[in-house]
Amino acid sequence: MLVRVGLRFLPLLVFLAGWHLICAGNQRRTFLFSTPGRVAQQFWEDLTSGVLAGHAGITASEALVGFILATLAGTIIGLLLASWSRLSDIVAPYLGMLGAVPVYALAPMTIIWFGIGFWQKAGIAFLSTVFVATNQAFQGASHPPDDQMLIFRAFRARPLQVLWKLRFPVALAWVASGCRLNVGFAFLGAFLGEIISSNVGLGHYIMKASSLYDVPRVLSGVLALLMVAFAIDKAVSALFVARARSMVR
Amino acid sequence: MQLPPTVEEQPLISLEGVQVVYGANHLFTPVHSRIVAGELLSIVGPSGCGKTTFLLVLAGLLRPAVGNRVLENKLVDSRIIYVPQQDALLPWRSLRANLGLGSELQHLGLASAARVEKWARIFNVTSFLEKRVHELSGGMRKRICLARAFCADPSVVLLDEPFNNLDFVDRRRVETFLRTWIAEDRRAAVCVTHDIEQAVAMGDQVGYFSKPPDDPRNDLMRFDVMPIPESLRKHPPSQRWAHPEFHGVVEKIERMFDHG
Repeated sequence: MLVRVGLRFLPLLVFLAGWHLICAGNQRRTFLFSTPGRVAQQFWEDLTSGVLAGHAGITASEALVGFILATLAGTIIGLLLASWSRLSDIVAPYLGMLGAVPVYALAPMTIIWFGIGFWQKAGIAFLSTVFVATNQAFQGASHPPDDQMLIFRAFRARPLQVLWKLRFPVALAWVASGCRLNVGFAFLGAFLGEIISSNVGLGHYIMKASSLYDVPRVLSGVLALLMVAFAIDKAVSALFVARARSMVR
Repeated sequence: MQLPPTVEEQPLISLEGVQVVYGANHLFTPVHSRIVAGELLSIVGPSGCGKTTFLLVLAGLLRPAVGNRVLENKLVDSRIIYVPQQDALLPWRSLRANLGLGSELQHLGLASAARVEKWARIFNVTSFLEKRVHELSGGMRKRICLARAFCADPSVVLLDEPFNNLDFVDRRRVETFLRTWIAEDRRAAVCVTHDIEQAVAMGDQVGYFSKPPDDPRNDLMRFDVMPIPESLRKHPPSQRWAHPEFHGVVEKIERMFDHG
């Protein structure tokens, strides 16, 4: 087991060694791609000074605020639609279409709508996740499993009971199972917002470094981004997804 | 159809010439059936012959294309409970809450916690009431499902293959339980099974779907009822197996399928 886990580091080591061998000692290549040593040094510096943690915290909070608001709003809208079929007959096609629109195309407009601060990034994160959440809640609530539906009919449950005791829990499970994908989108949205305009956040850190041709700093920012995204993904799947999966079946 | 001697009164449910249509196909020739208080009707028949459909019509969950379903004056739909073949336990609820689902949906008073305890004891599931749904074996799930139905206090239960996944001991227990439950309070049960011996061991009558041999043009299943002889009926299920007449009745029903 230990050997097998150890082997997982092999590709990384090969990559780093190759990078070092190709780039170290060559000024042009070092300028373009930097070297593992320099990136590590830069990363360590910015990590210990707290710079990276500050930026990463901002980006993560923008993404999470957008994600949480979108999940709440999406769940409520999805449930409303599912329980009011006359409305959903009209709205459902639009919902599908809006879900397919790349929300990032609207990103530049968000400056006009939300300004250039925290809420612009949270706004993009919100817009890029709300449709998926709505759709998950709507689908879950309108298609509870047939066998569970039959049980409710067998006990002559009234429509309101079916809504609260069956459609609602199933919708929540569907929303939760969509969370993992969605939190990634929210993160991407917040990051993109920072690239468009910002004075803090990992997007800002990377943009600034890259306009100064400071490749070690760009890559150290990318490394931080990777770690934050990985941590959030793990946290979300531990919190919701595993539990939801056992419920959706 | 020969009626058992007990039925002077109005049956709880009667089907009068009922036919169900799926797409362009009729499922069976018109069905006449009477569900009588105090009796258990076993149903056997080849797979896909319409046994589940028959139960759904009895339950009032499926409206027949032809014919009528008539309830006794005092009986209401909500007192007729259909127990599907699939467990359909709700994984987000504890098993205790699953067991109480039916009585909860039907608002059977505030004493429902005590009610749940009572039915958990009867079906021997008290020890795992706090577990989660996915931790249970098939037999445990089935027992919870049966308890869930009876906990809603029905007058008629319509059981769709309730013995699947139950072990030998539990089968005998459930059979015995059903007989005493029916006898208590003008109740009735209909039980679909694919085990003819079991149908004979617990039923007052055995309903069976078969193809009539005399009419080769007619491809539809026909529903008939064979009463269990009085000499066998007066014994509880556990004693019927060893009764000298038992195998005669079983073979008689088996022959109905052979020429089908």
